[in-house]
Amino acid sequence: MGVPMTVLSSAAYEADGEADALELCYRNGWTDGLPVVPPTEERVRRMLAAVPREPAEVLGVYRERGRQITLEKVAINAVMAGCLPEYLPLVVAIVEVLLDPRYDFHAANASTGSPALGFIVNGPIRDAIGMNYQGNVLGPGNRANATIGRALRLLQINAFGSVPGAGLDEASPLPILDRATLGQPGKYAGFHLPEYEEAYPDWPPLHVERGFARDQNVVTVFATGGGLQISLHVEQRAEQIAETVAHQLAHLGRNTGQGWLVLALTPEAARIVVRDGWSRAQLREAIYARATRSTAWLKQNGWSTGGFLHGALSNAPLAPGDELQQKSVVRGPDDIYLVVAGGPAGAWAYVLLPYGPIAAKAF
Amino acid sequence: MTIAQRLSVLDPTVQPATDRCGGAARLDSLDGKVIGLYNNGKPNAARLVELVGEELGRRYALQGVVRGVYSASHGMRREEWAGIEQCDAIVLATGD
Repeated sequence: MGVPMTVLSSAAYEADGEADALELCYRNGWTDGLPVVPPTEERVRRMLAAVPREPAEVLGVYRERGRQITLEKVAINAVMAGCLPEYLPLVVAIVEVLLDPRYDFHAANASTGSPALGFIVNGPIRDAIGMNYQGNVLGPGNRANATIGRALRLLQINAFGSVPGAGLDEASPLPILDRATLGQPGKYAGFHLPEYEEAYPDWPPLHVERGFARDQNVVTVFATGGGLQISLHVEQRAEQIAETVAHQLAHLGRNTGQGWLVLALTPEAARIVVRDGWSRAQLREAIYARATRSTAWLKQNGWSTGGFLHGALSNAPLAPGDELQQKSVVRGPDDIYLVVAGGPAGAWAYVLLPYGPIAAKAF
Repeated sequence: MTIAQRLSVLDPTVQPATDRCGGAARLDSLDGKVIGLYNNGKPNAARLVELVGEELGRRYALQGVVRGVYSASHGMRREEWAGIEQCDAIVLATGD
């Protein structure tokens, strides 16, 4: 006699074939607007087999909305996103970060400011599941990159309740709790950023910089309002790269002295920094210093000193001490999360602007 | 003729678990009462709640006013609600 299968607790809906099953998912409001893979029991069980844990295990509670998130629900949404079973451990690790009570990811699910999730991946898992950390690393074309990010969005919609569509409430079968004003393309598959650790092996990757072992799988999870691409095609020295990146950042009105940034350098740009003998810490410190501005500068250049939510309407007069009060675009150099990623041609930096916390987990 | 295979599709959603709770007892008046004016720190929320507080001060003989700022990015945290025990009623202003 065989071992009885664990009973799955999710309700089942009947459909006449794949096409009807897809339309059922649309009618119920379970998609992100794109077609999903109908999560049949067989597909979900195959997905669950990749993680040796009980489907009913509660990975965490989304406290603000009173939702217990089980492994089963994560697996269902991963199937819908098109994930292969071997991607599930990474999806689970990210969800566990989101639900950790030490971190506040509620804004990522609820803010009208349209944040999208992002995740940096380090360690052997990148190659083990076929992630792309080279050309189009943030773009389309790779199943692991795209579907892992999409699984997170479907979880936000279905499990966390962040159904989008503010203003269209009457037409929705579900309450609209993602009332983002604009939304953004990053909300489809997130900002998936596996690091190209092999580009410069002597330049320790992000997770090693942060104290993890090189052979550990580590995911760094964050929410972001979006990215800024910076051309570095005329810069020929490390200090010039630092200056250009800092100059652009300092003119965004975000000199609050708080927060963090994710900074991705393409291999061609990173090569200049490595060639000049700069460590990652040196580059981060140089950007931090060069992006620092005084309160006097902020006032004279039309920026509010009240933070980025307050626009440029302060017209505040200069006050004694304004030259001495200095603030950068992050809290400190260690709050710049630097990774190398991207294709072989093109010297670029890509900055992801913060929207809430950033946190890392080994798994 | 191809006959479509019946499929069972599992529900990906999670329903909220809500605790039952009753409403607070209604006050008959704000005369002699302490009110809390709390806002979420977003633009104009403080100004709005102050205007409400000023109007309440004109209409009622308030015992006192407690002020506070909380974050909309997470659930209630004790340290953001200092003084709440002193309040008989609370006005919240949420800006965005």
